[in-house]
Amino acid sequence: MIYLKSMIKVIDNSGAQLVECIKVLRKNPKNFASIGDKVVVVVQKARPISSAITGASAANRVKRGDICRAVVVRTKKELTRSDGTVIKFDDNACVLINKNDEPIGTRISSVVAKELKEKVLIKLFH
Amino acid sequence: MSNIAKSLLRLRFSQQGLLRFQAQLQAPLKQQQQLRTKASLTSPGAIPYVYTETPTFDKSPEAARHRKRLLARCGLIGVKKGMVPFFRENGDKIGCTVLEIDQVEVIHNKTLDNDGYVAQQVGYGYKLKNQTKQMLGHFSKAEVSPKEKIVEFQIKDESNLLPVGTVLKPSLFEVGKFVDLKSVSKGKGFAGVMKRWHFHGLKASHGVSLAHRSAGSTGQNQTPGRVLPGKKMAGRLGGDNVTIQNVEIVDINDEKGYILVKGPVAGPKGSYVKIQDAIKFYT
Amino acid sequence: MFSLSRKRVLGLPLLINQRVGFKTQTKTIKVYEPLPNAHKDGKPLMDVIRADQYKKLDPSGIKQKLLDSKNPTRLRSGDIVRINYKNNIKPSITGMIIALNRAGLESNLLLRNQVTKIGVELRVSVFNPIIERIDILRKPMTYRPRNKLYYIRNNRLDVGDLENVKGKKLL
Repeated sequence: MIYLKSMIKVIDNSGAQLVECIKVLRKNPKNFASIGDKVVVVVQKARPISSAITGASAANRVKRGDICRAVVVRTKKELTRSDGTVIKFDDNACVLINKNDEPIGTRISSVVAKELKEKVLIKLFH
Repeated sequence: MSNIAKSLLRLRFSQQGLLRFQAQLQAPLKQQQQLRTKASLTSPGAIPYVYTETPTFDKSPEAARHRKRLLARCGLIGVKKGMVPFFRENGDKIGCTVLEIDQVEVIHNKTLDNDGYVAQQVGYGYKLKNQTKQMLGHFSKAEVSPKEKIVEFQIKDESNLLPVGTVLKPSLFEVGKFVDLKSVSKGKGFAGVMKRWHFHGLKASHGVSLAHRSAGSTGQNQTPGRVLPGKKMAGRLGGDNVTIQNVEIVDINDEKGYILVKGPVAGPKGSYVKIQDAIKFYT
Repeated sequence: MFSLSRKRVLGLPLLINQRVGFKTQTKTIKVYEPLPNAHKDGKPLMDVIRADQYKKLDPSGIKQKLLDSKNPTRLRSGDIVRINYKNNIKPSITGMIIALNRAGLESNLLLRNQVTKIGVELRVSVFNPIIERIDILRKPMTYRPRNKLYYIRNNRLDVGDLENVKGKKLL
């Protein structure tokens, strides 16, 4: 259940650590984002940019105050699957993406829900 | 016949009548056209008699019957027994409602000539106690046992009426096809606005006393000086006829006499459910 | 689909006295016998359907035995189990049972595990036919004094990584 002001953990290497949801995309205003939904977020906490990182990944790094899009990959709210299985994680997490649904980071550090594979983000989790 | 004459005729007579008139005069007219040497008008007054059909009025029962989306065949009556989980072959789990089909027989057929509409009367179950003599005579005429529930299914065509005394089994329907389910929802009695219309009620504190579940204001002051019609207020909730459309049939068993339909059905356990082909799929 | 009903008159036809003029006539209304009952052996329909479902979903009765409260080797909260799917259509799930909901055909297990230090909980329907078997990997020496172990979440009693999975994993 991600909505306005929800604080979400970021689990990719884009540089952001904690983001705040400012908009749920393509949903009823009263609705909320669940696993696989896209949101607009503002970066609240980011890793400092170190000189060790070079090349494309350095150019893609985000910093505090940046506004970008993200896709929700884990939620505390239970998600029911068609076979009756219910899945629930201990935290809310997301992965930052750009406007073309391509991930900003290059890898994901932790566990994500299987539903993402079926949705648009095949590029992310092939 | 010239075009002008046709248009004149159209003014005076209905289209159907004109066509009929044309058919009557077709052969001699053709001869006339061949012989004709100059333009001439046929006076409408020269036509002695044209048969016109009585038009059907929009408000007549017959016109209403044609307007309705009627199904080709009758349905079944079932009794809601409860819900069970059902697992599909691919492991998908769905909640299903069990509808019992017990001794469903055709009791009576209503025809256009007798009743003005076409319908099939179908009975469910068996009940001898407290049957009136009139009803016993009705059952005896159909040579079926006394029934506990009778319903009618209005259908489109008389040719699809089943003979009286036919036993209807759950296999009237097929697995994977869609049906409409009609039943009476659970009565909730006199309910407040929060339950009936999902109002938010008043505040829990901030000086609100004894009115936490109240509707609040019902309108303005002197203008209009009345509560406008249709205002949502407290009142009777539930006990309505509810139709659930396009419900999938999940399982059918003739031997044990039941149908499993996907999802919930309105009404308590033991309530009668009319099962018909889905009107949006099959009309 | 259809069949014509068997016509047999009940033992006692109903008699009515009808007055016609000055005489009283006796008219008989035939009352027909009900159709033979469906093959349910006198049991309620819901019981019959449930029994059929058990026969279909759990023919060997192993799953029912795992949930049977009289069985000493039954599943209990605190056990670590692995759920194996038929033909490996899904990866097997390992976790500790933190709640066991006995609800007939709806019975389910709440499994908790930690993957890369993130707690993951899965509620699994026991009688789903795609579940081939449920292996009990470990039973605790002593059980905790509750049947619902919700209180172990995110504290020192919490389950560890039960599968030793490295890197990302789709759950």
